[in-house]
Amino acid sequence: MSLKISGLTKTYRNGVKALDNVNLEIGKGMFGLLGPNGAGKSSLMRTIATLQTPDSGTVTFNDINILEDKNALRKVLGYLPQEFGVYPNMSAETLLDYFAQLKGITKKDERKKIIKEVLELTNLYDVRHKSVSGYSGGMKQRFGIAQLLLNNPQLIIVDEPTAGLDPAERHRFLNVLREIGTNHTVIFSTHIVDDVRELCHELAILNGGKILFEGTPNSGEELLDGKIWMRIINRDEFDAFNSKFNIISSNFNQDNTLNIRVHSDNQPDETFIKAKPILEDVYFVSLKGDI
Amino acid sequence: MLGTIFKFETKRWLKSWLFYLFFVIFFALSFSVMATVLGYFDVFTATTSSNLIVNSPVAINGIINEIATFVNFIIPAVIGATVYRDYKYNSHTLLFAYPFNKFQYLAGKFLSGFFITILITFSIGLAFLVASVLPFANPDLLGPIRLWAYFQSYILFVIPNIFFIGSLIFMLVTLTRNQYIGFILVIILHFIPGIISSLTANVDDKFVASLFDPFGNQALGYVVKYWTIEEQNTLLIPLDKVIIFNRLIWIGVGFLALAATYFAFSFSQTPLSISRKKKGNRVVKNNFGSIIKVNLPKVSYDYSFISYLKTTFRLSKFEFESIVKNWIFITLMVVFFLVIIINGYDIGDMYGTNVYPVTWKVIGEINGVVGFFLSILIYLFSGVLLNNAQSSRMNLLVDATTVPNWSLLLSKFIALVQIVCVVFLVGILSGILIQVYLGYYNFELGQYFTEFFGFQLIDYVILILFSLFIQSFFKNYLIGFFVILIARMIPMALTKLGIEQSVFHFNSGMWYSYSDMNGFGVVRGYFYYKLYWLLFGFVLYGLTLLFWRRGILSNAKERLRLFVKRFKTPIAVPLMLVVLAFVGLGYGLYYQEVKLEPYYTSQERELQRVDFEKKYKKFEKYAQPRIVDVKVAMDLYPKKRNYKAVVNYVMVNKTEKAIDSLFLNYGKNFREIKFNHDYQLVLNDTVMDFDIYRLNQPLNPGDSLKVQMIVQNQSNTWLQDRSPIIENGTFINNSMFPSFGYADGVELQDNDVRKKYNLPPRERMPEPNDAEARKNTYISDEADWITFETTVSTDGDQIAIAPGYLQKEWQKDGRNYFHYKMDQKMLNFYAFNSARYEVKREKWNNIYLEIYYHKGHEYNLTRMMEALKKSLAYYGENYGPYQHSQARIIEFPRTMGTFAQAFANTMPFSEAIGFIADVDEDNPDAVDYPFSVVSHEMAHQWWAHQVIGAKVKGATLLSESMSEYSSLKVLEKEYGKFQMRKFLKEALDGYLRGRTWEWKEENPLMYNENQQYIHYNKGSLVLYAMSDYLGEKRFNDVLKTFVSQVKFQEAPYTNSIEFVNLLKQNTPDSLQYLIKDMFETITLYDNKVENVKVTNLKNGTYQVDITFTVSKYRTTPKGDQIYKNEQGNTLTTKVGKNEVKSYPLHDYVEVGIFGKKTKKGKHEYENELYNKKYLIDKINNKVSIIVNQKPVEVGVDPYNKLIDRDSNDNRKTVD
Repeated sequence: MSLKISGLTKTYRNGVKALDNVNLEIGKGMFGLLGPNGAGKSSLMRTIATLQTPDSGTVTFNDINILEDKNALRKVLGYLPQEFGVYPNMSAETLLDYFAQLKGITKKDERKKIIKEVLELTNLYDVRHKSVSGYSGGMKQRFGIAQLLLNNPQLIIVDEPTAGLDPAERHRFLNVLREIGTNHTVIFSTHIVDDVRELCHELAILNGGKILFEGTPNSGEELLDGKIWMRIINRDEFDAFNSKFNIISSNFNQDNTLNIRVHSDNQPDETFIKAKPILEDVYFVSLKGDI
Repeated sequence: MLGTIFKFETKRWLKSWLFYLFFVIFFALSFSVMATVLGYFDVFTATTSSNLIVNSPVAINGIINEIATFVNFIIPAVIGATVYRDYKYNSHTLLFAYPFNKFQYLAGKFLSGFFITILITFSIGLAFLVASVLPFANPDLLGPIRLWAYFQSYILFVIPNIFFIGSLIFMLVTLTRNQYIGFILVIILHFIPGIISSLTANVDDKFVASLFDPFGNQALGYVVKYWTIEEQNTLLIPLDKVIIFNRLIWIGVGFLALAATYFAFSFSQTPLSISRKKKGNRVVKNNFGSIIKVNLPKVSYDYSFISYLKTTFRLSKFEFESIVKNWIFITLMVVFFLVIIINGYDIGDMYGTNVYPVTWKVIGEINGVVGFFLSILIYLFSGVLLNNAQSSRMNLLVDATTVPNWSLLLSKFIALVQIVCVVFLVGILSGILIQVYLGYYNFELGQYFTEFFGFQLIDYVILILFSLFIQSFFKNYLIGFFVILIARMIPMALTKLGIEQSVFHFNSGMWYSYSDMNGFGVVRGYFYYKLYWLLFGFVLYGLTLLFWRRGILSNAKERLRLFVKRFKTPIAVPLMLVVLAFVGLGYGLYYQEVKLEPYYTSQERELQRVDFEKKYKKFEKYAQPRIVDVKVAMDLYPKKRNYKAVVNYVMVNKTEKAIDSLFLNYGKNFREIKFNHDYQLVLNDTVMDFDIYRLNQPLNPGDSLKVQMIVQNQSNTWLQDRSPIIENGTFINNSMFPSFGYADGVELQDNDVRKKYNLPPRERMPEPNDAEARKNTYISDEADWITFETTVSTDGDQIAIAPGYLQKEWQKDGRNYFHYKMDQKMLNFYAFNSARYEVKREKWNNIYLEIYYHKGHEYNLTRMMEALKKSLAYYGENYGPYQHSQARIIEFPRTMGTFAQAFANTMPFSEAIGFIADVDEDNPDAVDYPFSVVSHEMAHQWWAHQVIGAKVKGATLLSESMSEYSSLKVLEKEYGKFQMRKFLKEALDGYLRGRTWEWKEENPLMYNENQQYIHYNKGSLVLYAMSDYLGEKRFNDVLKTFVSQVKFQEAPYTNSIEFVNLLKQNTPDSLQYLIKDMFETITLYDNKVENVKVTNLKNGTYQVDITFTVSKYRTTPKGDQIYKNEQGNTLTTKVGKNEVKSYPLHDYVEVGIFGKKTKKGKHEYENELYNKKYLIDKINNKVSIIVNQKPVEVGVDPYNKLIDRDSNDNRKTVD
């Protein structure tokens, strides 16, 4: 089971290059697509989900040429876009039934059975008669997962599903995803590093339409082994440090001092101590184009 | 701050492409409308010509306002949405924090939208100006350019209307935050004027009614409805009080709406909602479990075609429900229902009398409304359905599933078809409700269902396919809606460009029509055309599929690429087959209609007429032998809808010279002609169907010639019948036979058009004393009086009828034969009828009376019989003996027309005019028209079939006017005076309206040129008044003398001058002026009660002091008013502040006083206390009258016997 992307390029009418010769190979399990807003994540995911045509390049999943035989892929595809709505004033159950029909489940009792299962799985069973347009953000996202599960997909694409969820919602949501990911290919895009670290065994970092890094979280961290340095500074020292060192991240402590992390092959100066690289470092270093 | 908001909003619009799109669309639309009426396209099509100037103030105002009604559809977007937009894009949360107050915010918003809408409407006036300045216009149609006229139209109508509608929509949309409620309002407003005029149809004085029209058209109509051509061409719109009041009222309503908006609006976050709030439900989060196991149950997935076909139907149910639950739909349906009911309650009103709400009548009544609503629903909801996933932002979820595009499209298509069915059902239901309300319980459900589901459904299916195609290119369905509206006008544009054939006009073709007698008739042409357009619809369906938007498309190029990619066997092959079938059938239709049946465009026909006149006019004066004897063997085949006739004429040379040439005009039914003399065909014009035969031996004076012609319809084709025979209810007459002599009826009539082709101007008819013209009656150029005999055969289940008496009746080979023979001379004018008839027979004074009617139409048979008897009695006594011993009324289907016609002893009578009238004999405001129409036709047996005028001006005074007068008298005898008032009032209205449409010029009654508003409407008024002034007996004696002098005369035939001279001889000097006023000139009165005072006298009587004005004027044929008599005298005086002029008076005018109406049954009758003619010789008059009862109303010429443009001020209620 693998998704192969090669040479994918897409330029929008306004001149923005959303995808720039993207090559990826994604196997079974959770795959994280990490990148800031506007990096091209959604464009890539929509292209894989047959909803957008690239200018050039190919995408294949198992034996399916996605760009040519879209419907073959749709049979095994579960897709949750970054933002979606539903028909107003319709219950989860009605809408899921609608989707189940779209997805080719013709028998009524089978639809009933699977809808019940996905509702329970996403913990929406109790609110199945409520109209989805009135759901909270998290419930709506879970509804999104429920609908994508209906066709028992092998390739699941979820586009920034955790944005705006409260921690408990997010937690549960990620659990569902992880469980699905054990037997399927799940591509999961986010700009939150923690999501990926918790969930994914592989990731790619995307910015400006280009893949900046691809590999496991560990391999990324290993790459930076011995190159991440940190120290605590005062707030007003920041500008001086920033001009002198390659600061990749900084965060406040409670006493208003700053932790700064610096990427450098050698110890910047003796005040810095060596830090164990974390995924976030990989992300920021990648964005800075230093890998 | 107000200024800032206004400027900001206005600037935003001026930068938007939408503004320019609207501007350009309205400019283009207005320009093409104006260009069309100005004759820009005369190069391609028939010449445009009119008496009316296209850019007169009234005309300009009319067209500007008509096009401005389309602007109403963009008001919801421009004015309505201005506040709504802040909500939609959530900028209200930010905006409302800025430092401006409610007034500034709302006023700024409204004014900018209002301003932008006005700017858009300026495109209309601008387009008109440009079109009238450019050099392509026909200068005859163009008057001087008067900018003031444009200004008036905008200030009085366009801008106030936008203000009123705009403020109402602004209020509704701002408070509900729903743009579509504005849209609904526009649709409702569309019906308001129609509903008002329907509700007030029988109100005499429309002053108050016209205040209720929010658009002001009825107020304007109140002022200008009787304007003559001259007035319409020259006058500006007057600032009459009814217009000013109307405008102030509706501007006021606009301000109220704005004030309401101001008070109800608050800078809060929640909209006003009329629907009930859903019960709130607490949603408890219960999602803290952690590890779960995904173990989906095994289900089967079926991606087969069949499976998705089934799914499609289930999806369509889903789509369907989404529409019927949509409140736009629900509101529209409620409006739909109400409009039908309101329009239906006075169904088929004619002279105040309704018809029974038979099903075809009800269907006819609701059809227009059904069509309007269905069009709107289809245009709109095709877009709504195509975009519903998108507008709920669910499209990506749907698009990522395996559902095929065709299934999605098909489900939406099916849902729309279901919507059409729902509208049909609601329509049928409301139709039945109307029937129940009117107490009619013969529900012909079969006819309802055949009409809608059998015939009309396919029409709307085609429209759905078309709308889906167009809407699929637009994300904003209101824009798509607008584009469809414009696209539907393409056929009109094509016609103007000379492309007139139905195969090029979307969804057009042949139609069908229902009659009780003949059912739906021949319908295959309709279905062939519908099949053709359905195939076109399938092509569009295929294209819609190929262009289907799925996922995210970034540009048109990508869409095109997708199109090419999708163009594969499963779509391509069926699509190509459908295209092939469409083109093939199209060619077949084209061949049938254009090649097989030579089809001439209106321009070609115009040129042929010119050609005919130029080539053959020289033969006009060349005398032909006259037909003296006619024998016809007519075989009718109703089942096969064919006929064959053998026509035998005996013709006699009645001239002093030998005749050697015969000219024959014929149609496509002409098979052969034979003469009993040797002859040669010397000219055979197959384009104009005109032949010249030369007799080898000229026909000497007094000699006769026998002619035999065979006339037979061309064989019926797979597409259409080429025969007028119908299955049940055939009605044909002898105009279908070839005719002898030059046919002057072919000549172009309009002098402007004639000038274009270098033809000399011509009159519609020759002068009354034209000796040449007086050789013919106005009925026939070929014969004087004839003897007539015919054998008619028809199918075994039908009765065939023709003038004459039945001599013999027999059956042969399952067919019925009837031999009729007329026992005396008659006009060369006869008809053949055949149908499955029931017959009602009676005998009165040795005259056999028969009514041949359709089973089920028994309602008024007794009444019609009665009318026959009463007419025979009155006419026999007053005019002279009836020439036949039989009178027959024969019903024919409404599809052949809504009229009755008099042939010798035979009167074909449409099923729609009297057979189904619902007469209320006691209602003083409802004329028993089945009775009066019968009397009218019966009177023609004297006034046409005994006395027949020459083919000159004024001929119809002696037939139509006399028959109208006669029937009025019989009606008056039967019912008394009260039925007269309604009839005369309608006649007056008909005359005054008729003259506003005159396309040449108005003639005085005795010189009228077959002008219906003169010979029917004015004729009945004038003769009734004349008889009233002269005394009925004395007047009828004149008629009797006239009949005895001229009946059955030979040429030269009589004319109106002979009649008027006889009348003059029998009219006292004091009344001679009436003949001058009413017969010889066009004279109009303006009579008005100015004041009335009542004093109670001691002896219980009442003294009534009435001041009133009388004035009159003559008009020229074009409509100029003349106040000077031959001596150059004019009356002038002051009435109040106004100077009033009059033609010198020495006139008798009635003054009447009326008491409280008397009640009899459920109706009220007028109670005349006093009525007397006064001699009037000045404008201001005062009379003092004593009456015994309490007066309620007084009047000058209270019964409207005189022609008066404002007849409503003739009466005044006593305060």
